[in-house]
Amino acid sequence: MREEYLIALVMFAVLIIGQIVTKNEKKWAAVFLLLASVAGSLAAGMGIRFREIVEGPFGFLDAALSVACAAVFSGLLYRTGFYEKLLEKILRIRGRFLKALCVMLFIGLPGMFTGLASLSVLTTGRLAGEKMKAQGVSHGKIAVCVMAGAFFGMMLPPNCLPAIIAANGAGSVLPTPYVGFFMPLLVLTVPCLLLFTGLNIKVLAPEGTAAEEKTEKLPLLPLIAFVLIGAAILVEGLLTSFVYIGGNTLWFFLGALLLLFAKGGSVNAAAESLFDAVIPLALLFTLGSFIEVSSMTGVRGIYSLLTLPQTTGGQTTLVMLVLMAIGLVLSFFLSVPIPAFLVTYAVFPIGWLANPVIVTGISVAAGLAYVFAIRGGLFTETARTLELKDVKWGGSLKALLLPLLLMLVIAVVFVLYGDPLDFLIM
Amino acid sequence: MLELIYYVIIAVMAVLLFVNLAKKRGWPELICTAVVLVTFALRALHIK
Repeated sequence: MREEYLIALVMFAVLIIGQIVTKNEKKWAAVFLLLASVAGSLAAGMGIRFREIVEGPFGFLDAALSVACAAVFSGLLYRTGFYEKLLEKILRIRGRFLKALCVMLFIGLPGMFTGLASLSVLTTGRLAGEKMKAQGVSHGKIAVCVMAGAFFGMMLPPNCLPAIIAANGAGSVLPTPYVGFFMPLLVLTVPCLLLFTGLNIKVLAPEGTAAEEKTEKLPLLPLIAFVLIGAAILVEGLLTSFVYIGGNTLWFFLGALLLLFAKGGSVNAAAESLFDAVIPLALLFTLGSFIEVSSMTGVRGIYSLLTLPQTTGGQTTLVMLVLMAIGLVLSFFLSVPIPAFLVTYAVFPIGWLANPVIVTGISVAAGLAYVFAIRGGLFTETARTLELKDVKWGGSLKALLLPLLLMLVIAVVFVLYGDPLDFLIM
Repeated sequence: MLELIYYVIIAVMAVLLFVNLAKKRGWPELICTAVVLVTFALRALHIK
């Protein structure tokens, strides 16, 4: 048996044992990814290679900085009371479909900014869930709507963590910028969002529930920050090829700075907001270490040897689709880390040639892995954060199945026809 | 100029992480914070 197989075995064994022992608890996933990287390095007889273990995360650093700044910005919008007031305004909308769509977009807002569904659940999802509870909506339906809102938010631009992870695979040994994903992510997610909204309009906007009482005005400074940053990000995202006005990281950072002066904004609140994103960020960085150690120890070399003969014509696509499928199946029992790793490996064979449309399609496997996980996924997080009782993973997934299947179909189309669809990269 | 902005952003994020380290947290959260902090700090040292 070649040494590289043994190294891969050790790395995956540490990770899988960790996932099983901790019941896929997200806060432990990063720790076990780190331990698996160290174990791989030791198994290869290279000692603890500190350089590779900390160099791996650098591939994700620029995108992670944008996520970190967005987490502070979004967290401060929550802590200054802006989200709460915004929800009150949305609940006054009279048109039912528009109201339902706005509720979904509201839940998804932090996910859009940060690429993290967990932040949507923690903030806007919690606010919307409380309102739904007060309206007497069943806990099962609340779980479905909050999960869907958070998931679609995560998959919408500007930041999308699964796409950030997949983009790293395209960079081969050098980091790839997370650029050009705005329109592909929109085309991927918007139809699914509209379908879900249409199917769940009775829950999201029940008849005769438009709030009549006068609501308080939106706080001025957060409103200015929200509109300004939102406009800058939209302009830059939609016109990436023509306009450069500083990038998302800078805009989120400026927005967060502005919000420090709003009522409820403080350094402590900013630190708490960043802390909400620390576990996913650490997960991202330790995944970088895991990938780097797998490259350093030759595991990736073996993978390349096995796949390169297949990487002509349609065989490349087959490798990508097979790895996506394996990731999705594994996600049921082992949550996100291994599917996320497989997603980067799915992109490796096309490397520099990968265009963001194909990468967006592949990234869906990592996104869906978070929803499909029986334990330690989006369902567990939603039920725990919103203190929902008697909700079942199977029931929630069943209610989400149609929009998720549509997303999977669009993802496969992106993977199959990514090259002719490259006009979506703006 | 761009390097300076980049450095300022990383530095501010690192300070916020330090503020979090000073608070009572569980072991996994502390390890995660340390992982992010070390990555930010080492990147900052690489800026030319």
